[in-house]
Amino acid sequence: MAARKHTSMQASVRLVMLLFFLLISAVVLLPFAAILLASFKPGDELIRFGLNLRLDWDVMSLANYKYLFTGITRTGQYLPHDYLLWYRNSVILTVMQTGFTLFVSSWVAYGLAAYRFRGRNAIFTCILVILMIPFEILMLPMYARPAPWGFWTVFGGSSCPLWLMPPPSFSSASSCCPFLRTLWTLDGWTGPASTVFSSA
Amino acid sequence: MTRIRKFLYNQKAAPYVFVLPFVLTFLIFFVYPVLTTIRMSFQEVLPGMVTNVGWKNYQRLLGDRIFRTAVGNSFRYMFWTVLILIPMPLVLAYMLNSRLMVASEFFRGVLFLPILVNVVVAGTIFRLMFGELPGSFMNTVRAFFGLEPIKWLRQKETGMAALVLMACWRWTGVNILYYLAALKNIPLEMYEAAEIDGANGWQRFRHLAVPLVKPTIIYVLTISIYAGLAMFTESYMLWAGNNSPRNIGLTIVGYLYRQGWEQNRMGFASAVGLVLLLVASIISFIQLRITGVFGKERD
Repeated sequence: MAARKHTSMQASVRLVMLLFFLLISAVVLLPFAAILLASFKPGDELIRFGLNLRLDWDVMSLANYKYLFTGITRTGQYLPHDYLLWYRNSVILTVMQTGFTLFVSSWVAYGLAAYRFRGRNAIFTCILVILMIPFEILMLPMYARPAPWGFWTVFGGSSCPLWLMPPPSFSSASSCCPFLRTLWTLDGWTGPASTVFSSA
Repeated sequence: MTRIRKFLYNQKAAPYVFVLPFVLTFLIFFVYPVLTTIRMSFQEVLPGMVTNVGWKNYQRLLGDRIFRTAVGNSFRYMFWTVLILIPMPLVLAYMLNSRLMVASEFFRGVLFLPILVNVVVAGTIFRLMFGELPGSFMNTVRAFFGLEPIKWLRQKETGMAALVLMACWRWTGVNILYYLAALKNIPLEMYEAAEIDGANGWQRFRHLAVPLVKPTIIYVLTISIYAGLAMFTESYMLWAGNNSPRNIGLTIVGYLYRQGWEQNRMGFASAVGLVLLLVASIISFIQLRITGVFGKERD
């Protein structure tokens, strides 16, 4: 009897949690739904009525997508733009940055995880220091004064920090440090990297 | 050839070869620019003309009313994001980790989706959702409850609410992942043992899970404090530029950006950035001290 009571309680806990997470998921997906709907509506519709979840089949069409890929507007005008070029630029930057980050991160993280050596703790401290420095502080001198040896220019101007450094648009410090992230993964959260924090 | 091989297999040299790329990146892209920033903060930097002005930039900063507004905004944003984004994802992660949870993987994926959206896109979506029109999404929600439409991004409180909501939308899934990684390391036997000892669900959470994921909580707290204080892009996107009405969305880094790039006062902007760095370091130090990461030797 007690056992059955136990399982029925478990079933209700299960149901409540499921409903709870369905609700949260709906809220999380709302902005996606809103922007998806808006992509089918004409721009002036958005300006006149605002972004909302109203389904209005009369104004919705694939015209925006058609313009995006062919350059032909809804009135039949040909207004070319460089969307595919921008897309290509983004892909190139992503591949370069991901490749470089992955390689360097795993390289360095392996060294830190596999060996005990003098200066290891200093490296960890440096990683923490990176977490503390806003990208904008670093941008100021890079912008105001090129490095004395012309480093930025050699490596293709302003794109250099973009692919040697963590992406600036990531506002979380954690994503600002590829080394640390890879390290954490390699360590499985229990190894030397987390000892910095785990003494608590 | 054998010499190279000997070097590569040398247990003493190998770790340094591995960390060399990090050390180089650190020196070139962090140490050098930060030192330059420190020097610039004592200068007036104009194209082709640099004058040393001593502490003048810092003196100006102390009496700067807009800077104080920016600091206030950054601190309020940091406070709310920390208050929400530390405990809430932990509870959610605990539930997702429970064996009673159905479709845990699926919900984890859904909650993680927002962070895959670029902050620029996310900011634009939220700007439109928090629009002033009666038909803008958040105003339709108000209408649903029988309330009048309001100008979300023109009032101090609602503007901040939009910023904090966007942060929660974007970062909950990430923090859940951090917590889940830690929760997965707790062996099931420990929960079973606690259950046999008569601990109920809340007690198992409070006295078993929380202490065991404490290192992760401290890590998430540390980066959240800093990320909160250094927030800029979100505000820039939400107000479609760096100028929000009565500076309600201006942050410390936003002020740095305004001074450095929009008004070309690089020296003054450097001082702003360094004050932020100092404040963030002090807070992190205090927080790590309180939570006991530093000062371990004493116990």
